[in-house]
Amino acid sequence: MGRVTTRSHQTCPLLEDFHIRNILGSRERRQVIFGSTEYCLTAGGGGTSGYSDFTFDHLTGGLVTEVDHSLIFAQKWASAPINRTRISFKTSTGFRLVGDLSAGYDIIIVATLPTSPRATPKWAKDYCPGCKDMDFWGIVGSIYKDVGLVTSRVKLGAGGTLAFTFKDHTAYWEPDGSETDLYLQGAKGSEKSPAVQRMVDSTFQAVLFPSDTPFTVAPWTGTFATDGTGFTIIGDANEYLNVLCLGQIAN
Amino acid sequence: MKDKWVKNICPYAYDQGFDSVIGDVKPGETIFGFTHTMAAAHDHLNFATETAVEQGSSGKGTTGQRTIHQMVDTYYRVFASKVSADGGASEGAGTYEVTKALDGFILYGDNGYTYDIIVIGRVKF
Repeated sequence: MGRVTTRSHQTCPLLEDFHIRNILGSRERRQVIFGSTEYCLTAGGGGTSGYSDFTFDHLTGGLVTEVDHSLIFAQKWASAPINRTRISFKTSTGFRLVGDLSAGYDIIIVATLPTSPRATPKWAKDYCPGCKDMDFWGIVGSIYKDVGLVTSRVKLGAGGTLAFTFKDHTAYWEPDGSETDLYLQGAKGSEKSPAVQRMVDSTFQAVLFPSDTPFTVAPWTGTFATDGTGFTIIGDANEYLNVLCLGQIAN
Repeated sequence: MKDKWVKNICPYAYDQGFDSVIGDVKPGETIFGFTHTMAAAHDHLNFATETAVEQGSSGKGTTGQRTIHQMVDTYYRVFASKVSADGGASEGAGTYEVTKALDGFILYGDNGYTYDIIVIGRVKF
């Protein structure tokens, strides 16, 4: 398979005017992604268990108050999870996050907004040759500027840790250089510039999900670099994880 | 461009009510998601089945969605999150994805419980 070209560079003015390298496509109209870092679950669920009820209004500072439907992902940071993380009581205005009492969590929400009178039945590809060229039916909206989604599949080291940097992981598929990313070609050590050098600060969100094998140590995120260049991941030795990050790009 | 938002430049974003759009690192990728209730300890999730949308007479989706039939390659990333009413079992250590194919993948999880799932990669519409 050959290298995937960035054809939308030629036709999409957004890529020139904002700090994003590519547009993220969608199969839905009015789909948005937003995130929030929450510093603790306040209500006791018994023992070490805790929970908090969140509204979309609270998480977005009033920019999103209601959604048609949502998919919600949460990740404990700063210490290993004791109770497994889960979501309950999802409604059109909020949800309950269940996990560890007084623990902090990153939350990433993929939501579809209610139908708007302004929304037309057209798709993005009907508007713009850039989206048509990329085979995008829709694109994903945001409530903030320059927000990018960074996803990668990583392998933790023999010690069960990995220092994840955006610079390394937006240029190569594997941190050890054993596999070249078909989307962002270039062997490790090449001079190809990464798509994301860093986020504006440490207030980005990161969610982990195991790939290929079950875990014995639930994966969690450790220290977030204050300059937005990356964070640490802790889990099983040599474990494969899918990494999802949402943040404001500061390239 | 400091004073402008995407909605000032992109008419589709304006019509959808978006102030801005989400950027991506890798070109040509689409995000899609669905909710799945496990019927066993591991289920084979088929994209076409999980994202099926009612089709109108025009052949277009009637709910503002498109069905995903296949990915371009298997370099897509999967994320799953357990969603259940209080009182359900905690997510087990056996929740992970495996065996990614162009038309779907296998998810290991807790039988009878529901998961929010997103997939990010290149879609063959």
